[in-house]
Amino acid sequence: MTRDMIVGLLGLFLGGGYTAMALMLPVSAVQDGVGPRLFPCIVGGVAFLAGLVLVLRERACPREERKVFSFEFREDRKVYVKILLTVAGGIAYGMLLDPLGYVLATMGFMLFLTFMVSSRAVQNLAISLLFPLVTYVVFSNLLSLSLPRGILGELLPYF
Amino acid sequence: MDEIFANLAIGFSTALTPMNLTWVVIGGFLGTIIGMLPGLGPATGVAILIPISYSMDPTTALVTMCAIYYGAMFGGSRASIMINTPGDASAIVTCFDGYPMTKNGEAGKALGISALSSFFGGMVGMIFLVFFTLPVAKMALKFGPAEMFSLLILALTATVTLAQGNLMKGFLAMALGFMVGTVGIDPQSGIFRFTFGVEALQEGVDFLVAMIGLYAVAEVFKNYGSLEKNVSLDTSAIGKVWVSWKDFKRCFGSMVRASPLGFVVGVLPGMGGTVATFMSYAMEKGLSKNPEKFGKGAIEGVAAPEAANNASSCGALVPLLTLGIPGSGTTAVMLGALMMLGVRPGPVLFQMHPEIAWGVIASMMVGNVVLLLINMPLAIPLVKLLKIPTRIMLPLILGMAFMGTYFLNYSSFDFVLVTLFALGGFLLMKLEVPLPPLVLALILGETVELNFRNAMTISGGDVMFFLERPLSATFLGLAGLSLAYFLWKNRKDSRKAR
Repeated sequence: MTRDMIVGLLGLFLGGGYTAMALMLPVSAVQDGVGPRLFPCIVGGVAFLAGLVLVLRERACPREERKVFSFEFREDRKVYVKILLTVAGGIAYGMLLDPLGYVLATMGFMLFLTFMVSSRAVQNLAISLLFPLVTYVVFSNLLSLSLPRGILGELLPYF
Repeated sequence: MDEIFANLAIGFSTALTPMNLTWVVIGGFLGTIIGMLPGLGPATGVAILIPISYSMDPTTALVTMCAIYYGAMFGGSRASIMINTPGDASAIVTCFDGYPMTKNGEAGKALGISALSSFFGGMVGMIFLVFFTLPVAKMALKFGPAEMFSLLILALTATVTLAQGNLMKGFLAMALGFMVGTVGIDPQSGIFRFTFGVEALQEGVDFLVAMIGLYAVAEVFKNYGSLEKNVSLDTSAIGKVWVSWKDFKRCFGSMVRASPLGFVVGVLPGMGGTVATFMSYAMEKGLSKNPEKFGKGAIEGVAAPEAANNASSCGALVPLLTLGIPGSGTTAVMLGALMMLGVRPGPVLFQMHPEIAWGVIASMMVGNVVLLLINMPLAIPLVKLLKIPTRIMLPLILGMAFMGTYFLNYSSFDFVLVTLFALGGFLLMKLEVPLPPLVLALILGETVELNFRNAMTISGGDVMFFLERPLSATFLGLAGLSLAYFLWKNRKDSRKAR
């Protein structure tokens, strides 16, 4: 499949689905003359039409001229694995922030990230230790934004 | 005239408070660094530095963000000159002659002229900005919902058509932006739309969460592919960062021509720095007596795009400040950050809060001077930062990005959203779908729908209303024209290709 074909199908699918959902929206008793449905329907229509044009144009194009697109999952698997790990790590970080506190959770997150991209242990440890401490001091104390202290609690300094 | 000077006086009294002055210096410095690092554009830079402004009052926040934005414009060319890798798209042209100058042993001269012409372009742009904003803001005050809607449609269409590339992909990106923007409670009827029963989505998707995901995190994903790359950089051969009187005279004409051009291009939505730099470079090459020297280290080839770039970043502030319409990804991020602090740029800002609007303009003039002072004597230590390897940069960017997300709502659900947007942004980049139309539609979506519905209510549901009002019809006509131009040019290009 070519790039344009994939994008076109995406437009058809998203535009169609979105419009269908917009048509099912309830109409409330108190509202302006237009209501909540019309605008989303236009938007969905634009997406659907753009997708349709892309697909039709690709089909009209002779087979030899089409440039086949590949995500290169196999060749770039190292990149995709890193992306998936980052997503998983990021979500886990979000869940651990409140219970563990900013400093500890961020240390964990940074250790995870740095060891994922590099094997230099000393450098990685230094970054993972310094980043949370420096940002904590800057944001929590100098810029007075509140960050969760978590289980470290009173151990962290107030300025 | 008197009004302008009175306003500027208010502006300078705001800009020169110690607090704001300090932040101009810090912001300019951080911006320069961010702009310099390859693969980290100004939009990413502003997005990850937003948390700094959370505790500030709106004026200081806006001043700081402008300084970051502006610093990034100065910094963008450092990497072009030294390692032939542009810091962002608007620094691509600087590679053409900047890097050859470095190879000829003139790196110091190239860095010097780039800083000086950035300063020059910025100052010219600023003066234009001062004279332009008030008339535009006054005119915009008279706009009704129909005019506003048509103007927004013009801005969005122009972003799609002027950004080049595939028209349909551009419109699809715009529609995707609107789709995400409609998630949440509908302010006019109070019903929930497209929330899929998820409680956290009831208030809609936070614009800045989307921006951090689409720009900062997706940018890191893209860079995972180039982890092994090492930068070879020799800073000992730079020499003195200075511009001789002779070189200045040689470049003066280029700067004078490039600055107004850059400003005008910057005002137009969807054009921005990249187009301005290419246009000014082509113009200088065309006018030059020895065009064969371009591309081999002609100093004018650095001066012209650099002046145009900074003038265009001033031009981009005209629609942002007076109409509340951003013309690029970076200005869209700035708008998002301001709205979170409760400031809504637009014509009313100049009436209700002249100290904010003019304070920002004045502080940009101050910032311009500060940045020249940062970029000339400190050029060499700054350039050394280019040696920071990617494996250190990427985790730091991710750390900042996630921290910034957390500060927005203190909600861990936003971490899920940020990663979703990052995956989506990465996918769209792979498929070559342009991001700016999506981002603009996302931030302007609510305003577009509101004005559309208000106008339709006034007219009793008659769509012709938008064409019956002269100004509104003009805006729609221009939108149609930009579309027609795109199609015409496309047809011409494809004929040429055959």
